[in-house]
Amino acid sequence: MFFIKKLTHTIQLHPSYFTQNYQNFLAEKLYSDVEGTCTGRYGYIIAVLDTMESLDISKGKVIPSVGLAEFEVKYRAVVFKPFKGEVVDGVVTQMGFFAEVGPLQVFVSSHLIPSDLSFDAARQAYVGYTSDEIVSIEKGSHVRIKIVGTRFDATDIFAIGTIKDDYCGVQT
Amino acid sequence: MANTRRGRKPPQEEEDASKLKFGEDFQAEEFLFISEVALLLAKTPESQKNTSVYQKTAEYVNLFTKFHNEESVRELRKTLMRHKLEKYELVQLANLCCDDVEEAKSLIPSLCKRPDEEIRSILDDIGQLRKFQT
Repeated sequence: MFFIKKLTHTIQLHPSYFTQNYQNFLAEKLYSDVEGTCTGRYGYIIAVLDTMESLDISKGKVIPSVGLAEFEVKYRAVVFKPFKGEVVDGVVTQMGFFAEVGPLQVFVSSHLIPSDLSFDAARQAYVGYTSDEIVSIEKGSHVRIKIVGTRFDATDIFAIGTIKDDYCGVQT
Repeated sequence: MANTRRGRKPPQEEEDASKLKFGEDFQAEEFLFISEVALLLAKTPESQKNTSVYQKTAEYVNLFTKFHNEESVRELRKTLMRHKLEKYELVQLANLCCDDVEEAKSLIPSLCKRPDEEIRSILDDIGQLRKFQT
């Protein structure tokens, strides 16, 4: 699920940046520090929505004996975090199989694929035959997946999905 | 270790989308349609576009966006708001664009407590908006 989330980030600024437009440096630093990162708590931070003018920057506090100034910056960002039980669309990237949902990798194990689909090594695809058509899941297929579990570590999120549920599986 | 018990936090509520539980960090935040993310990302300045997370997301949302311009997205949100849906249900309905009531109830289990006719009319509204977007 995508969200707009209000977050804060603390930035320490070197005295050489104490100029008229120090806000500029803070904004740049914020973008490079947080964009593209991932935490277990907030998920992937995709893009900061605030521009330099709209950022809420606290008054700087000089840290004793170091000389660096510390600023607390409040910003809004588009974040993506997967939840258990959520249904998402993804693109198959690798057999086994893995699907990509934006920045997130979702693994669907062969136990969580309906038994009427079987792996065809020659075609590198899961193939199933229904009464009048052939269903196949291969690299590039769009699949609808239900997330059954997520695992977080310090810098990444992994998710396990199933396509065994009703209305999940290949999308046409 | 006697002191661990005293310091222990109350058990955290498990996050589960099918029960509309998103944890305290996200429960109160704004949920976005894939289409809204696509529009927001299109507006970010060039200098912020070079992370791999950004690029993967942009690719993904452009692939799965169902509503292509601001007016139809706004109209969609306004229409869905009338049905007093939960934020999560509202967004999932717009993202998944289900064809029938059973499908919607299966993919978004929390909808099951609503009458079928109501879900039917919501799906019809979404279908109409999708068909007639400019």
